[in-house]
Amino acid sequence: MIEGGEALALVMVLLFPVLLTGLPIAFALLFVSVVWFVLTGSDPTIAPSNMFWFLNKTELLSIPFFILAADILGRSRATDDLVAAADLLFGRLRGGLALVTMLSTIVFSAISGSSVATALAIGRVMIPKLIDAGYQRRFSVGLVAAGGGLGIMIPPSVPLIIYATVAEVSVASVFLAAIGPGLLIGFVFCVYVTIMGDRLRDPKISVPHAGDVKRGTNATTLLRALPVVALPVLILGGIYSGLFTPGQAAAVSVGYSATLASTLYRTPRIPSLWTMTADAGRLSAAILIIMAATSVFGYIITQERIPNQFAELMGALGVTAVVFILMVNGLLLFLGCFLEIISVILITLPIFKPMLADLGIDPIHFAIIMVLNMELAVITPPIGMNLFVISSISRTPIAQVFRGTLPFVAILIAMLLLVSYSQSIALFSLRLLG
Amino acid sequence: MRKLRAFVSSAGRVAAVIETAFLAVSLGGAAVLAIFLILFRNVVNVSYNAMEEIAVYLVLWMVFVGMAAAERTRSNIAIDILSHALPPRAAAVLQRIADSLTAILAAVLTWASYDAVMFSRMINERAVSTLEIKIWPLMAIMPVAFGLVTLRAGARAAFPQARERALESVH
Repeated sequence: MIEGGEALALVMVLLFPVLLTGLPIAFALLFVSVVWFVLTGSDPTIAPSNMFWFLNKTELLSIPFFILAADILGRSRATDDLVAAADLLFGRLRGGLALVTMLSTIVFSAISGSSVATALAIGRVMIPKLIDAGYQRRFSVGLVAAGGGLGIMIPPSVPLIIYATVAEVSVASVFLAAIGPGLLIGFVFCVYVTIMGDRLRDPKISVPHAGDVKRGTNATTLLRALPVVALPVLILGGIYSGLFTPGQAAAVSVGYSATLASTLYRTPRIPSLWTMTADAGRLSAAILIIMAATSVFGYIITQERIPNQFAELMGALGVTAVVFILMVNGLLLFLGCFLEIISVILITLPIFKPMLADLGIDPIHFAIIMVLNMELAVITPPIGMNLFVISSISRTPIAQVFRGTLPFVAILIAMLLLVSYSQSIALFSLRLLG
Repeated sequence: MRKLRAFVSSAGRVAAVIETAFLAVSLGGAAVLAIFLILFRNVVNVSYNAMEEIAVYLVLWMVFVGMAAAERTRSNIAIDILSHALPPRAAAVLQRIADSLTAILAAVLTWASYDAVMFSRMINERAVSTLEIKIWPLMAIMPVAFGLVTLRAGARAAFPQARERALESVH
C-alpha cells in the first residue's frame, strides 16, 4: 500500500499512455481509478456506487433528449428548408453562399446542443454546394467545422448543462448568459465569411443558390423553415417562463422534432425513428458513461484534497483573477487538444471551483470562458471532433480541414480574451434578459 | 467447434437485438414520460413526479446497456490517434492491449458492482423520493453490463480474428 499523494501522481502519469492505447476514455479513467483504489487499499466498490449515484440525477435527462431531438431534425428535411430560407433572405448578398452556410449553422446550433450534430447536419448539405460554387475547399470545410463549434456555445448546449450540473449553478442562467457571446461570435464569423468568401472563390464559376429543395413561392419557403426556427424559441421561452425545467424542455424538443419529422417533413419515416432512438441512446450512453467515470476520478481528486491544495498554492503565489483566468485558458487550450471536451470539463471544474469564490469570479462568467475554450478544442487537432466529422463527410484530409479553420481559431482566441476579461460583454445577455 | 461458433454468433445477434430494443424503448419511454409530466402539470394541474423518477431510472439503465452495446460495436468514445498512425500489425497489437485492459477492468468492476448491489440489498437501501423504490434492483444492471463488457472484450483479446468476423456478421 502506498500513500495517496504518490498513488495519485502515479495514476496521473499512467492515464496518458492508457488513453493512447485506444482504451475508451471512460474505461481509461476507471482503470486508473481502480489502480488508485488498489494502491491505497481503498474499497473499489466505491467506484460503481459513485457511478450509480452520479447518473441518478434529473438534470442529466436533458443530454440524451437533446441528442435525440438533434438527430431527428438533422436527418429530416429540416436542414434543407433552413438553408433554403437563409438563401432566400441572404443568398444574393456579397459572399452569399458562405454567409447562408454560417447563418444556417447558427440557427441549427440553437436546435442541436452539439457541435458535431451541427457540423454534420449543415456540412452534409452545404460543403458540396460551396465547393461546386467555386469556394476553396479549405475555406468551405473550415467554415462548417468552425461554425459547427457554435453548437456548444449557443443554448441549448450539452456542455453548458454538464457545467451547470457540476458547478451547481442554474442551467437556465448559464443558457441565458451564453446566448450573447454565442451570437456575438456568430456575428463575427458572418462578417469574416462575407468579406473573405468572394475573395476565396473562383470567379469563373457562377454561384448557384443553396436550396435545392423544390420551392414554391418565397412565402412557402420561409413558412417551411418557420417550425424549425420556432424550436429554440419554444425551448428557451418554456424554460424562462417557468413552464418547464431544462430537462423537460429537452423532452418537449424531442416530441416537437418527432412531430415535425413525421407530419411536415415526412422524413425520417416512423420505422427509422426506432433505429434513430437506439442510436441516440448509444451515443448518449457513450457520453454519460464518461461523465460517470469522471465522477469516480473526481472522487479521488477530492479525497486527495487537490482542489484545496490547488487553491492554497494559488493563494501562496498571490495569483490574481486576471492571472488565474489566463492560466486556466492556457491549460484548457492544452487539455482540449488531447482530451474529449466533456472529460476536460468534468476533470478540471472540481479543481477550479473553490478558486472561483476566492478570486471573486462569477461561476456563470467562468462557464462562458470554459465552453468557449471547448469550442476551440473541437476544431484543434489531434482530438478536434469537428475536424474528424468534416474530414469524413467531405473526404478532405484532416490537415486541410484544420488549415481551413485557422482564421476561425484566430477569431475565437480574440473572442476568448475579450470574454475572459470583460465580464460585461460575457454576461450582457444575462443582464439584459435575466 | 463449428457448432460453438454458430451458437456464439447467434447469441451475439440476439443480444444485439435486445440491446437495440432496450435502448430505443428506454430513451423513447423516458422522453414520453417527461412529456406526459409536463402535460399533466399544465393541463390537468396534477404533478406526477414519479414519472420523472422513472425516466431517470430508464436513462440510468440505458447508460449501462449502451456501454455494453457500444463495446460490441467498438463505438465507445476513445482516442485512436496512435492506432491510426501505426502500421497495421502494430495497431492490431495495440488494439489487443486495449481489449485486454478493458476485459481486466470490466472483470474487476463486475465483482465490485456485484458487491455494491449485495451491500445495498443487505442494508435495505431505498431511494429518497416519491416512489421510495429499493435501490439494489436498479443497481443490478451494473454487474450485468460490466459482465457483458468482460465477455466481449475478453473474447476479442483472446480471438481477435474470430471477433472481427462476428462483428462483420452483426453489421
